[in-house]
Amino acid sequence: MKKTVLTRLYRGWTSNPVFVATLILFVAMTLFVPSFATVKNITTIAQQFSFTGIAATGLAFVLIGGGNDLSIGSNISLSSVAAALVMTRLMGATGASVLPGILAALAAGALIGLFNGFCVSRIGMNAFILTLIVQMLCDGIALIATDAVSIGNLPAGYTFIGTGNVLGIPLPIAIMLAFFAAGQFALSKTAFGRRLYAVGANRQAARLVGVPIEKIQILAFVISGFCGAAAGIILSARLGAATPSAGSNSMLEIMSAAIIGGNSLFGGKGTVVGAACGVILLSLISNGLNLLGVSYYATMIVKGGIILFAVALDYFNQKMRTRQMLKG
Amino acid sequence: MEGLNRKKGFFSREFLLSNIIYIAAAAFVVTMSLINDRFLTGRNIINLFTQSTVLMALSIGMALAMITRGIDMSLGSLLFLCAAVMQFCGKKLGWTSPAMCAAGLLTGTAVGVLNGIIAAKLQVYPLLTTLATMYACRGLGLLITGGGTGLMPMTWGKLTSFKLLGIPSQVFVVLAIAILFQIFLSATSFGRRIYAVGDSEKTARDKGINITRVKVFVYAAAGFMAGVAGIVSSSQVVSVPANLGANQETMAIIAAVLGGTSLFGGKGSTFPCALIGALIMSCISNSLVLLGAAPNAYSVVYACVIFFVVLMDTIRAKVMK
Amino acid sequence: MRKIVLILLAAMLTLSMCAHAEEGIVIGISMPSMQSSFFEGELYMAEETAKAAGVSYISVVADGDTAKQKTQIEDLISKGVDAVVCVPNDTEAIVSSIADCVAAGIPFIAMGRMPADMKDVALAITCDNFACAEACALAMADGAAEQGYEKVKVIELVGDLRDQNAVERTEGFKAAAAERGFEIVAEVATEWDADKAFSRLTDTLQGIDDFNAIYVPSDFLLPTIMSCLQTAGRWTALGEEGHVIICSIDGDPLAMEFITSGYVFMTANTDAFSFGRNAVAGAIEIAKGNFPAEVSQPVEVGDLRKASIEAAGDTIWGNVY
Repeated sequence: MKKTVLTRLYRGWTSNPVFVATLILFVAMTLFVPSFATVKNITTIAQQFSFTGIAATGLAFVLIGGGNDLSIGSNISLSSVAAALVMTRLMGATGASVLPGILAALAAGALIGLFNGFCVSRIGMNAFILTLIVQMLCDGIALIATDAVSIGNLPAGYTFIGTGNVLGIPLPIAIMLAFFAAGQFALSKTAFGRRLYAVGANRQAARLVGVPIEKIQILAFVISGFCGAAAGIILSARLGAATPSAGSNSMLEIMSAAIIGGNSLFGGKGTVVGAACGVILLSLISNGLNLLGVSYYATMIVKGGIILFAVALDYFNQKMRTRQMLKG
Repeated sequence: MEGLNRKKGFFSREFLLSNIIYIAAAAFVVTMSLINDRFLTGRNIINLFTQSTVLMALSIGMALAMITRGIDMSLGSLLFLCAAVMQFCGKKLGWTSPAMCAAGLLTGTAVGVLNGIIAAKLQVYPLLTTLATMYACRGLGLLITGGGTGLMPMTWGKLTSFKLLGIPSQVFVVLAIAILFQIFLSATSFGRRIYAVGDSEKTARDKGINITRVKVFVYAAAGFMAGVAGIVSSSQVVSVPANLGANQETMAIIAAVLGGTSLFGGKGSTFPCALIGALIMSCISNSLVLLGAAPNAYSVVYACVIFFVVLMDTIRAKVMK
Repeated sequence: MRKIVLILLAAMLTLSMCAHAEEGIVIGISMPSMQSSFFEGELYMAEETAKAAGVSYISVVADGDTAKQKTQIEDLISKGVDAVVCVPNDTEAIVSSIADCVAAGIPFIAMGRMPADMKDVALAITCDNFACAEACALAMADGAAEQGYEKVKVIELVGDLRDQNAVERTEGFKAAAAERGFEIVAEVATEWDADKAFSRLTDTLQGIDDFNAIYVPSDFLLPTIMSCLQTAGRWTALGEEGHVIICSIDGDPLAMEFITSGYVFMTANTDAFSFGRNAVAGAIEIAKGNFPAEVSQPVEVGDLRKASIEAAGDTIWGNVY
């Protein structure tokens, strides 16, 4: 049978369980959860996961390249703090301060990514521990810089990012979609993307073929840092304040979302679209639990269960892949 | 088992790299005692030991897991869960202190076994699986205590106020446990297997070592130590506040690595490595307090210290290859 | 296989979702976390008040996560609640949630912690931290007089300065102490962490012998203080030698026991029940269209000493909870 675009798309979707699960959950919630299926609620949910979606996109790059980034959460906090400090303390929260603020945040995120990438790729430090250290560092710096107090009164131009619309679509959603599209394009259609997969799948082989491993991995980390900063901008714009601890709690959720979406901890596998789906799935679950008023303790256990489930799934997937490789 | 057959003595690159932590720590101690004359007093030193007991206990467990190239992020919350269980037994069921201790240690070991099984079966970074256990433990503990600060029976506090030669009893207990574990690690064949798994899992499996048994053991031991830490911690503050043990696992990792246990597995010990690491951490926080540093600065200092240490560890691992 | 697993997961979640329509007035209650018996008390009475009035409620807990609280309030708005009662996790960031509520025509009632911008808040049940600190200072002077101390030399414990309440409690106390001629001999940063408080207080007591009072900004620290003072040999009851005048804030169950036995002199009771009760009662009125004359309504601060506790019995939340 001729493989048309549609059939390929169909097979791609149904073979990835995340898509199926998300779809089923969406339908179920429409039917069973009151107040779910309204335009307002759906757009609200989409805005809520806009910042985790962007961060998960960046994380996908790092995971595919065979690394890991536990500092995304703190990156989000620190970048938003950087932006807020530049805008309010240095430039008096004027309209003109918005762009420098945004640039400061993005630069901060990219620099953190560069540092991460350099230490992990060039020096060879363990990615988990290194990014854990960077997480502590960023949190600490954010606390010192803000004296542990959130920075409010951000200029209107900045908060517009979080509350405004473009062509009827809320800005956070539009920006997130742009990141999804750009990220997926970079992964599937560019040489960088192909090499990234190669490095993640088999580092030694990639080196033998002449792929500049270190540069590729460092770039992946920089992208992750950049995305984290963007996420921080969106979050602080929505909250109307830059909190020194806002992003730290989200790390686990972003990581689980990326892994559920098929971005393996073993590297070499995954997509931005998958990460996006993972984020949507987790947000739907979260939204559902909120709308139903499920007890606090139960949600903690659900949270832990989801992480475990994501890792277990990743492991089983990896096992099956290896088995298939040996067979074929 | 390079951890055991280290050639010592000459000032080679290897010697410096492996022991740079101790060298740095020695320099640090000297500097601190010059800056603040209260630092090296007998009372302060006893203080340091007392304050680091909880961390020492956790570091022993963390070191064991790290020797197998694993990690246990749930230790802090497990400390809390054990304390919560003991508080329940003590206050609501009216058990005596020894019975409470047994309950706490049992809880810790049981969860540890669970962590071990997951780590062995899933073979993925135990970092994430133990993170999941961390959430579950904290949530379960909060459910038991009801969220508030649970007061322990008054007699519970006596456990840590009992002194021998002016040094609180818990210091001796933890020291003894560390030595026992170390003897086990160095002198028994099972202990050697633990190092072997950390060195290279593949080689260990080929040699016929039961990886599952090794992993379950180390994580169970770590859980047991979390129980010990829970006893000491809840006894010192005679209560179980909702944030007991929070972030202690990160401190335990730092302490273990500071003391010389490698993240890459196969190297390290519970005595003296884990203990020295915990002591160094205590010294740092003690100094920070004596210097009057802003609390916000603490985590930055810790982060820099552990970064330096991990960097050294990484370079050492590369050079040794 | 994977498909089936995930489909089962989705199905299970589906099954666990039973729809139930809300009729009548619905109050949304947003708590920042459950890590304090104070929040527990507030939430408990808030829910009881709603039940007693025959009104439905939805409670959500943000787990210390600001972004989560924003999400949860947005979800409450989606759900169409008639009023939102909230203890903000972050007083700056909550302003955007207040704007969301206003845009949806839902009144916002603040409880305990005050938003940075009070512009659109319909009702605020405030905690007068300055009154608490003042009450403590007054009691401290009384206690010193009773014990026969000429000058009050107080060790001040300070909470986590990220908490506005902690900031106000320390500022208030410093002002009241200055007015009365107290001498603050030391300040101990606790960061609302019992373990840190234990270490730092122990360190502080090492260097200071001349003190006769301690100011405690939250009752959950009392067991820690007991532990440290016992080690220093200063844990004695009122009237006995070396007794330390301890005055604290909160009025939670921990304090009751200590005050009754004479070790703690007084606690400033910030009745958690009153917060919950007043907030929800006010919310219901506002939902019906009756807006309060005064937006800011402080909860009265009680001065609880041995005699008053015995007299008051069950009406104090600390005794019941």
